[in-house]
Amino acid sequence: MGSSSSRPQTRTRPVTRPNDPSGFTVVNGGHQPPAVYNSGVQYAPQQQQAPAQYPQQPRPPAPAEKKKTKTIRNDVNLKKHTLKLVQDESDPSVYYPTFTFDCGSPCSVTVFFMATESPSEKLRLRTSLQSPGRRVQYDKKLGCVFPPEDMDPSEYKQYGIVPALYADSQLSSAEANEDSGEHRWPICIRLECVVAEEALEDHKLGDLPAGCGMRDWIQSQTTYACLERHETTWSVKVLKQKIWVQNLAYELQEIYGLENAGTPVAEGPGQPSDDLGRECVICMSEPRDTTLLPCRHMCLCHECAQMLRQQTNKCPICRTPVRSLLEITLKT
Amino acid sequence: MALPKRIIKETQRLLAEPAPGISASPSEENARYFNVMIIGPSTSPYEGGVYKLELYLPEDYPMAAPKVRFLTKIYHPNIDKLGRICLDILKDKWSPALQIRTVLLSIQALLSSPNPDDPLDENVARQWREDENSAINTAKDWTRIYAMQDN
Repeated sequence: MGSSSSRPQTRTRPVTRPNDPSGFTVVNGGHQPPAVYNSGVQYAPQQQQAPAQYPQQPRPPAPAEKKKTKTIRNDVNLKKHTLKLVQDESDPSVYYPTFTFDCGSPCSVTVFFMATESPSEKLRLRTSLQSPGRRVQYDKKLGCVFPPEDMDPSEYKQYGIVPALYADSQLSSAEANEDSGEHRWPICIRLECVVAEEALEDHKLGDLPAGCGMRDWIQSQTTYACLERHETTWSVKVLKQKIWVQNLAYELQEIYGLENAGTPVAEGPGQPSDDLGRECVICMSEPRDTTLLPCRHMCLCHECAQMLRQQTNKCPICRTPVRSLLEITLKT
Repeated sequence: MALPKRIIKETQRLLAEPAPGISASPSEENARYFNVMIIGPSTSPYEGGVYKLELYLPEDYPMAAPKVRFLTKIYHPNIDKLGRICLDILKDKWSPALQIRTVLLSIQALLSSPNPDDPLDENVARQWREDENSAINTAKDWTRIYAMQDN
């Protein structure tokens, strides 16, 4: 996810600003979409927590009903494409993560290895094999780097793992316990901040143990990843990201094609603009502003999307049947 | 009826940046009718041949696929005597994200990889399956006879 604040990616506008031109609109084709689509697509709420929280209004079966979705703001965001695993220079058996992230409030970073999360403990992460390094504090800033520039390189390995201590199978995937619903994640990286409205209440993240369950005054993002072996070295692969906002957990989902959608359509020879993905793939004239659900391909303008609904009703990119449309108004 | 912007744009782009080995230009009378030429891919039995096709954009394009047909005779298991083409994206696998350019590239690719297991012309396909070398020789002969001069 990019850092530009002009795009509603992971950091979207709060719902409570009716004049805000940015917004998500679900255009519902007469069926009852899962709760996730009412709440802003990018965030899939976790099972037990979500449904009661959303206003479930009875919906008439008329097609093309439009309703404003809830959008939520996420103050901390690890850019998952920047996450890498680096071999420690002083001790080559250790690999530590590096990444960049944005934080809209002062935040702390904690790195966990072999952490277990159960679905009922507000994202609490339990570690038994390796204790997490201490929290690293950051000031409010876009484009923060981990490890921080002022950290002594000799400290990096506190945030690292020695892959040789584990079986490959432990490192290469999340281990699920079907009975308890628990997952053990090879790597978790948690960014946490105190929500702005609560900052005066004297809440301190530092008073809480690393990996503790989320509180209503915390806003966080957790990146879950595994290791991948390449001959003699290791890399990291992101499996998912979750945020905690207003006392609820949401899984982040990417919208395919959002990156290019806001920029002007290139014209003229030498500009293969049809490949750059800015204009609607059907009319090739209007900008893309509508994402198809559930496949999350943002490839159409809202008019062509409506027309597609009435006709094939399949995604032009992947042919998945369309269940609903999400119109995204980009702030310019 | 006015020509949709999409067709105008596709046409401009096809003329400005033609795909290698492919040319497509709209007819003067009907902007939905294209005269197409595809050069036989090298290392295929159609190498050296120049194939003429016609391509028509139906009224509901791009929600419906273009209609494409070979005008030059060709010996190919997925193309019949009338020049009709057996290609999934022209039938049930059509998607409005595809374009004239991508359709023609797919046809060019079909020339490089005939598929006798999904035949349109059963006789050609049988020969292709039973004696591939002689089928390829026949295809080369047809290329020489039908696709190498002004037809």
